[in-house]
Amino acid sequence: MIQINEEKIEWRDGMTVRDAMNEVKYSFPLVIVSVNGKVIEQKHLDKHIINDNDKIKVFHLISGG
Amino acid sequence: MTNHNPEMPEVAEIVIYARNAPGSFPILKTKCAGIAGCGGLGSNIAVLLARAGVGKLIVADFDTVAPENLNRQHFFIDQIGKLKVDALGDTIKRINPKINYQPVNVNLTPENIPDVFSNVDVLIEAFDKAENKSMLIDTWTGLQNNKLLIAASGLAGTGNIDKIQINKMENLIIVGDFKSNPDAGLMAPKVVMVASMQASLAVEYLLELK
Repeated sequence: MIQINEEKIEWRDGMTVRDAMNEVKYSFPLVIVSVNGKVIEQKHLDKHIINDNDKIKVFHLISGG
Repeated sequence: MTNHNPEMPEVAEIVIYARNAPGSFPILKTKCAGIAGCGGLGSNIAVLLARAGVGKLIVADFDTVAPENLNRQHFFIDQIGKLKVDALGDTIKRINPKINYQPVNVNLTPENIPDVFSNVDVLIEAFDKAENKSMLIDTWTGLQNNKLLIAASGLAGTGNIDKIQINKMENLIIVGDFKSNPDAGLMAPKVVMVASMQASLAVEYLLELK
């Protein structure tokens, strides 16, 4: 089982961060993603493999400043 | 530089910062904060860090002061048309002329960010556009320099201030409500609140660095 924000989903061998995001239908274009508190570069989202029990956090980046 | 202008009296820094947290001045005096963007967040953050006693500020922005900035950015009507980084420098000098203020008049890109902010102890993301926020966070993460970046996301409109969160990760803190629609407008009370939270987190971090 892995956690992505407040949701818990089944872990699969070889699952990438992007796979997990797709599974919970996160499609917001600009996000910051961390796995177990470590920020993942955008270019690594499609290939960063997650382990069982990992905690993923996805934050929307919204204009305004 | 000694200032003999009677309108700018010489005041010892120790007196300016007498009411700050005990023991904070000698530490913060030696610290450098980078600020990426000089708008509603960045201009207010710089003023707050100057008042907190941070000794060196590197502020980067390419823009000039416009009338529509005055609702939330720390500029004044007589500064319209000036480079933002220069106008802000004038204000910082009026708070404490001994602060080492470094204006950098550039459009920040992944190519120049490592160079512009190479010597900072902490970097603060203060852009308006989400694309630029993403670019800076991604660039800084890729550098793997172990230096904290404090970013903001979601500060539009007037409500939901009780929804503002502080999310702490390794080398990254993001402050904001993460959902307010930018079309709701940008109002000084909420923008400055988030700027103030970023500045406060920076001060806390710099004091822990010792």
